[in-house]
Amino acid sequence: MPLQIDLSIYEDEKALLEGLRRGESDACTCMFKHFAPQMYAQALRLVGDPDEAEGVLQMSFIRACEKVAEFEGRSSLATWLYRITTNEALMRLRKQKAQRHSLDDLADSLSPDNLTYQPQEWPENPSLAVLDEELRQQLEAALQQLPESLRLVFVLRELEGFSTEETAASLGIGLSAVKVRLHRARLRLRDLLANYLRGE
Amino acid sequence: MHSQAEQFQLYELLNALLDDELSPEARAQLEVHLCECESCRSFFESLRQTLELYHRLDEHNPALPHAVEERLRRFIKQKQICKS
Repeated sequence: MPLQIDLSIYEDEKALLEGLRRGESDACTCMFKHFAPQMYAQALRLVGDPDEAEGVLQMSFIRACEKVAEFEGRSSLATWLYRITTNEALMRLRKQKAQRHSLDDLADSLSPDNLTYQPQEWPENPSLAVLDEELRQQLEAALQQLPESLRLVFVLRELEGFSTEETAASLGIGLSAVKVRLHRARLRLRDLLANYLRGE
Repeated sequence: MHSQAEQFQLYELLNALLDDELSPEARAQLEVHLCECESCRSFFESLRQTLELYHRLDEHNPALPHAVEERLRRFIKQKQICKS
């Protein structure tokens, strides 16, 4: 059965927050219904694996409930929850990374001569006005085709609105690496999308 | 037709234009080039459209897969995240 988002139990976000601080199950359900879908989508984009994303979602709920007393309301509840989700996803990726050989340094050391600049032809009149479910799925699938080093930078910078500095700090890389990876990610996504729009 | 080195430089500039990181002079110069160079103009437009689509990705709240939803409900209950 599809989720019915119902915030009517709580007059506004402030009331919902108070309910969460009191540990009310209605508030928890409300938070769950309202924010879990976006938190899961966000986690999936970052970690790139449905099982891992589910783990991130579950841990993010625990962290949110642990920290809700400390939340001062300087941002919206949504922004706060999405930041917790991002942090949880990045923490999980760091743990994985410590266990495997990383190619990130190699990705940043490629010279301009090695940049593949042969963009796919873009259709003349792409029908982009309606972002339907199929196109949304294509956009998500293209993201998952990016190498992790490019995907993380693109998601943080373009989708979550991190600044270059915040992205660099979150990923433990330099500012120039953020820019190089972002530009590469944009080009790769544009080419993947061009293939889809041309029906290939 | 631009050489590969020129293409690389232009690509960096087009990204800077997208990110609003160019000085007014550099921006004006690039905009003149975009008016004159059809291939750069169409490439820039395709890059801009790609980003616009991604920025619109969250216009509609995605659905949580049913199985994920059920497991999260059980998880919240088991962990007694909500006390009452």
